[in-house]
Amino acid sequence: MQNELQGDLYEATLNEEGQGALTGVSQWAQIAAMVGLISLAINIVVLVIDIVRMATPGAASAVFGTLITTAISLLLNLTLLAAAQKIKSGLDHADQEQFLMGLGKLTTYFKILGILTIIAIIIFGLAAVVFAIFAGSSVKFS
Amino acid sequence: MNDNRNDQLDELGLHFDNDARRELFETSKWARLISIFVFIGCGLFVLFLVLAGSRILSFVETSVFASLGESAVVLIIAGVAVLLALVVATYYFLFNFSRQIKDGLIAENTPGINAGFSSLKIFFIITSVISGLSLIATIFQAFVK
Repeated sequence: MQNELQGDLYEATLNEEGQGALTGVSQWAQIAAMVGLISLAINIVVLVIDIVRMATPGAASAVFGTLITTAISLLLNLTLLAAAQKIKSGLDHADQEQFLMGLGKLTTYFKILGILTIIAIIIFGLAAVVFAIFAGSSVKFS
Repeated sequence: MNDNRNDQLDELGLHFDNDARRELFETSKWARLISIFVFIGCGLFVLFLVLAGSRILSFVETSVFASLGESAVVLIIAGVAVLLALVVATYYFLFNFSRQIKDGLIAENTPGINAGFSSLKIFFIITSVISGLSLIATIFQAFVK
Protein backbone atom coordinates (compact mmCIF):
# COMPACT_ATOMS: atom_id res chain seq x y z
CA MET A 1 0.00 0.00 0.00
CA GLN A 2 2.82 2.37 0.87
CA ASN A 3 4.34 1.85 -2.57
CA GLU A 4 0.97 2.62 -4.14
CA LEU A 5 1.07 6.01 -2.44
CA GLN A 6 4.57 6.88 -3.63
CA GLY A 7 3.58 7.56 -7.23
CA ASP A 8 4.53 10.46 -9.44
CA LEU A 9 2.85 13.61 -8.14
CA TYR A 10 2.02 14.81 -11.61
CA GLU A 11 0.18 11.68 -12.76
CA ALA A 12 -3.05 12.23 -10.78
CA THR A 13 -3.71 15.93 -11.12
CA LEU A 14 -6.50 18.09 -9.77
CA ASN A 15 -7.91 19.48 -13.01
CA GLU A 16 -10.85 21.83 -13.43
CA GLU A 17 -13.37 18.98 -13.43
CA GLY A 18 -11.93 17.66 -10.19
CA GLN A 19 -11.93 21.15 -8.70
CA GLY A 20 -15.60 21.53 -9.66
CA ALA A 21 -16.49 18.18 -8.09
CA LEU A 22 -14.56 19.02 -4.91
CA THR A 23 -16.26 22.43 -4.72
CA GLY A 24 -19.60 20.61 -4.91
CA VAL A 25 -18.47 18.21 -2.17
CA SER A 26 -17.45 21.08 0.10
CA GLN A 27 -20.69 23.04 -0.56
CA TRP A 28 -22.98 20.08 0.13
CA ALA A 29 -20.92 18.91 3.10
CA GLN A 30 -21.27 22.43 4.52
CA ILE A 31 -25.06 22.33 3.97
CA ALA A 32 -25.28 18.87 5.61
CA ALA A 33 -23.27 20.07 8.61
CA MET A 34 -25.31 23.28 8.98
CA VAL A 35 -28.62 21.39 8.79
CA GLY A 36 -27.26 18.92 11.36
CA LEU A 37 -26.26 21.73 13.73
CA ILE A 38 -29.63 23.53 13.36
CA SER A 39 -31.44 20.24 13.93
CA LEU A 40 -29.33 19.63 17.02
CA ALA A 41 -30.15 23.09 18.42
CA ILE A 42 -33.88 22.59 17.84
CA ASN A 43 -33.79 19.14 19.48
CA ILE A 44 -32.13 20.63 22.55
CA VAL A 45 -34.73 23.42 22.75
CA VAL A 46 -37.57 20.88 22.40
CA LEU A 47 -36.04 18.71 25.13
CA VAL A 48 -35.62 21.66 27.51
CA ILE A 49 -39.25 22.70 26.93
CA ASP A 50 -40.39 19.10 27.55
CA ILE A 51 -38.43 18.89 30.80
CA VAL A 52 -39.72 22.25 32.06
CA ARG A 53 -43.31 21.34 31.14
CA MET A 54 -43.41 17.83 32.54
CA ALA A 55 -40.55 17.38 35.03
CA THR A 56 -41.18 13.64 34.81
CA PRO A 57 -39.07 11.09 36.75
CA GLY A 58 -37.56 9.86 33.47
CA ALA A 59 -36.31 13.34 32.59
CA ALA A 60 -32.82 12.67 34.02
CA SER A 61 -32.23 9.69 31.73
CA ALA A 62 -33.60 11.67 28.77
CA VAL A 63 -31.18 14.51 29.56
CA PHE A 64 -28.26 12.06 29.84
CA GLY A 65 -29.17 10.42 26.52
CA THR A 66 -29.56 13.77 24.82
CA LEU A 67 -26.24 15.03 26.20
CA ILE A 68 -24.38 12.05 24.71
CA THR A 69 -26.23 12.37 21.39
CA THR A 70 -25.57 16.11 21.37
CA ALA A 71 -21.85 15.68 22.06
CA ILE A 72 -21.46 13.08 19.28
CA SER A 73 -23.58 15.03 16.81
CA LEU A 74 -21.75 18.27 17.62
CA LEU A 75 -18.36 16.61 17.12
CA LEU A 76 -19.44 15.06 13.81
CA ASN A 77 -21.06 18.17 12.35
CA LEU A 78 -18.29 20.53 13.47
CA THR A 79 -15.66 18.21 11.96
CA LEU A 80 -17.62 18.06 8.69
CA LEU A 81 -18.07 21.84 8.70
CA ALA A 82 -14.34 22.38 9.29
CA ALA A 83 -13.51 19.90 6.49
CA ALA A 84 -15.86 21.65 4.06
CA GLN A 85 -14.59 25.13 4.92
CA LYS A 86 -10.92 24.18 4.69
CA ILE A 87 -11.34 22.34 1.38
CA LYS A 88 -13.29 25.32 -0.01
CA SER A 89 -10.66 27.76 1.26
CA GLY A 90 -7.90 25.60 -0.21
CA LEU A 91 -9.63 25.52 -3.59
CA ASP A 92 -10.52 29.23 -3.59
CA HIS A 93 -7.04 30.46 -2.67
CA ALA A 94 -5.06 27.59 -4.22
CA ASP A 95 -3.70 26.93 -0.73
CA GLN A 96 -2.24 23.43 -0.55
CA GLU A 97 -1.95 23.51 3.26
CA GLN A 98 -5.65 24.37 3.79
CA PHE A 99 -6.60 21.77 1.19
CA LEU A 100 -4.60 19.10 3.04
CA MET A 101 -6.10 20.11 6.39
CA GLY A 102 -9.56 19.84 4.84
CA LEU A 103 -8.85 16.34 3.54
CA GLY A 104 -7.50 15.44 7.00
CA LYS A 105 -10.71 16.67 8.65
CA LEU A 106 -12.76 14.70 6.11
CA THR A 107 -10.79 11.58 7.08
CA THR A 108 -11.46 12.30 10.78
CA TYR A 109 -15.18 12.72 10.00
CA PHE A 110 -15.36 9.35 8.28
CA LYS A 111 -13.32 7.72 11.07
CA ILE A 112 -15.81 8.96 13.71
CA LEU A 113 -18.73 7.92 11.49
CA GLY A 114 -17.12 4.50 10.99
CA ILE A 115 -16.64 3.90 14.71
CA LEU A 116 -20.25 5.00 15.37
CA THR A 117 -21.50 2.67 12.62
CA ILE A 118 -19.63 -0.27 14.16
CA ILE A 119 -21.09 0.54 17.60
CA ALA A 120 -24.60 0.86 16.10
CA ILE A 121 -24.29 -2.49 14.30
CA ILE A 122 -23.14 -4.18 17.53
CA ILE A 123 -26.04 -2.65 19.52
CA PHE A 124 -28.51 -3.64 16.78
CA GLY A 125 -27.12 -7.18 16.70
CA LEU A 126 -27.36 -7.50 20.49
CA ALA A 127 -30.93 -6.11 20.45
CA ALA A 128 -31.90 -8.62 17.76
CA VAL A 129 -30.40 -11.48 19.81
CA VAL A 130 -32.21 -10.33 22.98
CA PHE A 131 -35.47 -10.00 21.02
CA ALA A 132 -34.99 -13.47 19.53
CA ILE A 133 -34.36 -15.00 22.98
CA PHE A 134 -37.41 -13.34 24.56
CA ALA A 135 -39.67 -13.99 21.57
CA GLY A 136 -38.40 -17.55 21.23
CA SER A 137 -39.18 -18.31 24.85
CA SER A 138 -42.88 -17.53 24.32
CA VAL A 139 -43.65 -18.20 20.64
CA LYS A 140 -41.57 -19.85 17.93
CA PHE A 141 -40.79 -17.70 14.94
CA SER A 142 -42.79 -18.43 11.80
CA MET B 1 0.26 16.11 -22.56
CA ASN B 2 2.56 16.33 -19.56
CA ASP B 3 3.11 20.06 -20.14
CA ASN B 4 -0.65 20.51 -20.24
CA ARG B 5 -0.99 18.76 -16.87
CA ASN B 6 1.77 20.89 -15.37
CA ASP B 7 0.02 24.02 -16.71
CA GLN B 8 -3.15 22.95 -14.94
CA LEU B 9 -1.23 22.46 -11.71
CA ASP B 10 0.40 25.86 -11.99
CA GLU B 11 -2.97 27.41 -12.70
CA LEU B 12 -4.74 25.80 -9.75
CA GLY B 13 -1.78 25.64 -7.40
CA LEU B 14 -3.09 22.40 -5.94
CA HIS B 15 -1.89 18.85 -6.42
CA PHE B 16 -2.37 15.40 -4.98
CA ASP B 17 0.94 15.10 -3.17
CA ASN B 18 1.75 12.10 -0.99
CA ASP B 19 0.00 13.60 2.06
CA ALA B 20 -3.17 14.28 0.08
CA ARG B 21 -3.04 10.77 -1.37
CA ARG B 22 -2.57 9.27 2.07
CA GLU B 23 -5.56 11.20 3.44
CA LEU B 24 -7.70 10.20 0.47
CA PHE B 25 -6.70 6.54 0.84
CA GLU B 26 -7.57 6.67 4.54
CA THR B 27 -10.91 8.37 3.78
CA SER B 28 -11.75 5.80 1.12
CA LYS B 29 -10.85 2.95 3.53
CA TRP B 30 -13.24 4.25 6.19
CA ALA B 31 -15.94 5.11 3.63
CA ARG B 32 -15.77 1.53 2.32
CA LEU B 33 -15.98 0.13 5.85
CA ILE B 34 -18.99 2.33 6.69
CA SER B 35 -20.86 1.45 3.49
CA ILE B 36 -20.20 -2.30 3.87
CA PHE B 37 -21.35 -2.20 7.52
CA VAL B 38 -24.50 -0.33 6.49
CA PHE B 39 -25.21 -2.91 3.77
CA ILE B 40 -24.68 -5.71 6.32
CA GLY B 41 -26.94 -3.85 8.79
CA CYS B 42 -29.68 -3.56 6.16
CA GLY B 43 -29.32 -7.25 5.35
CA LEU B 44 -29.54 -8.20 9.04
CA PHE B 45 -32.57 -5.93 9.41
CA VAL B 46 -34.35 -7.67 6.51
CA LEU B 47 -33.43 -11.07 8.02
CA PHE B 48 -34.78 -9.92 11.38
CA LEU B 49 -38.03 -8.77 9.74
CA VAL B 50 -38.42 -12.11 7.96
CA LEU B 51 -37.69 -14.14 11.12
CA ALA B 52 -39.82 -12.02 13.43
CA GLY B 53 -42.52 -11.34 10.82
CA SER B 54 -45.37 -13.09 12.64
CA ARG B 55 -44.56 -11.37 15.96
CA ILE B 56 -44.39 -7.97 14.31
CA LEU B 57 -47.67 -8.57 12.45
CA SER B 58 -49.44 -9.61 15.66
CA PHE B 59 -48.07 -6.46 17.31
CA VAL B 60 -49.40 -4.31 14.44
CA GLU B 61 -52.83 -5.96 14.74
CA THR B 62 -53.07 -5.05 18.43
CA SER B 63 -51.51 -1.59 18.16
CA VAL B 64 -52.92 1.79 17.22
CA PHE B 65 -52.54 0.78 13.56
CA ALA B 66 -55.22 -1.92 14.01
CA SER B 67 -58.01 0.51 13.10
CA LEU B 68 -56.47 0.93 9.65
CA GLY B 69 -56.87 -2.81 8.98
CA GLU B 70 -54.80 -4.62 6.35
CA SER B 71 -53.81 -1.37 4.71
CA ALA B 72 -51.72 -0.59 7.81
CA VAL B 73 -49.57 -3.67 7.23
CA VAL B 74 -49.12 -2.83 3.54
CA LEU B 75 -48.32 0.77 4.46
CA ILE B 76 -45.72 -0.25 7.06
CA ILE B 77 -44.08 -2.79 4.72
CA ALA B 78 -43.96 -0.21 1.90
CA GLY B 79 -42.54 2.42 4.26
CA VAL B 80 -39.81 0.09 5.53
CA ALA B 81 -38.97 -1.00 1.96
CA VAL B 82 -38.67 2.61 0.75
CA LEU B 83 -36.53 3.51 3.77
CA LEU B 84 -34.21 0.55 3.22
CA ALA B 85 -33.93 1.31 -0.51
CA LEU B 86 -33.06 4.94 0.31
CA VAL B 87 -30.38 3.91 2.80
CA VAL B 88 -28.85 1.37 0.39
CA ALA B 89 -28.90 3.90 -2.49
CA THR B 90 -27.27 6.57 -0.31
CA TYR B 91 -24.48 4.32 0.89
CA TYR B 92 -24.00 2.89 -2.59
CA PHE B 93 -22.69 6.35 -3.55
CA LEU B 94 -20.32 6.31 -0.57
CA PHE B 95 -19.13 2.85 -1.60
CA ASN B 96 -18.68 4.12 -5.17
CA PHE B 97 -16.64 7.09 -3.88
CA SER B 98 -14.39 4.73 -1.95
CA ARG B 99 -13.86 2.37 -4.90
CA GLN B 100 -13.33 5.09 -7.50
CA ILE B 101 -10.91 7.11 -5.36
CA LYS B 102 -8.85 4.04 -4.45
CA ASP B 103 -8.75 2.75 -8.04
CA GLY B 104 -8.10 6.26 -9.38
CA LEU B 105 -5.16 6.87 -7.06
CA ILE B 106 -3.61 3.46 -7.74
CA ALA B 107 -4.06 3.74 -11.52
CA GLU B 108 -3.12 7.47 -11.54
CA ASN B 109 -6.48 8.02 -13.24
CA THR B 110 -7.68 11.62 -12.88
CA PRO B 111 -11.20 11.04 -14.36
CA GLY B 112 -11.63 8.16 -11.90
CA ILE B 113 -10.75 10.40 -8.97
CA ASN B 114 -13.14 13.07 -10.28
CA ALA B 115 -15.90 10.47 -10.56
CA GLY B 116 -15.17 9.52 -6.94
CA PHE B 117 -15.61 13.12 -5.81
CA SER B 118 -18.87 13.33 -7.79
CA SER B 119 -20.15 10.22 -5.95
CA LEU B 120 -19.21 11.81 -2.62
CA LYS B 121 -21.07 14.97 -3.66
CA ILE B 122 -24.22 12.93 -4.42
CA PHE B 123 -23.83 11.18 -1.02
CA PHE B 124 -23.75 14.56 0.73
CA ILE B 125 -26.69 15.87 -1.37
CA ILE B 126 -28.86 12.90 -0.32
CA THR B 127 -27.82 13.13 3.35
CA SER B 128 -28.48 16.90 3.30
CA VAL B 129 -31.97 16.38 1.88
CA ILE B 130 -32.73 13.64 4.44
CA SER B 131 -31.38 15.82 7.28
CA GLY B 132 -33.48 18.73 5.98
CA LEU B 133 -36.64 16.63 5.92
CA SER B 134 -35.84 15.35 9.41
CA LEU B 135 -35.38 18.95 10.56
CA ILE B 136 -38.77 19.95 9.10
CA ALA B 137 -40.37 16.95 10.85
CA THR B 138 -38.78 17.97 14.17
CA ILE B 139 -40.02 21.57 13.81
CA PHE B 140 -43.50 20.31 12.83
CA GLN B 141 -43.60 17.99 15.84
CA ALA B 142 -42.53 20.81 18.15
CA PHE B 143 -45.38 23.01 16.88
CA VAL B 144 -47.96 20.20 17.06
CA LYS B 145 -47.09 19.63 20.73
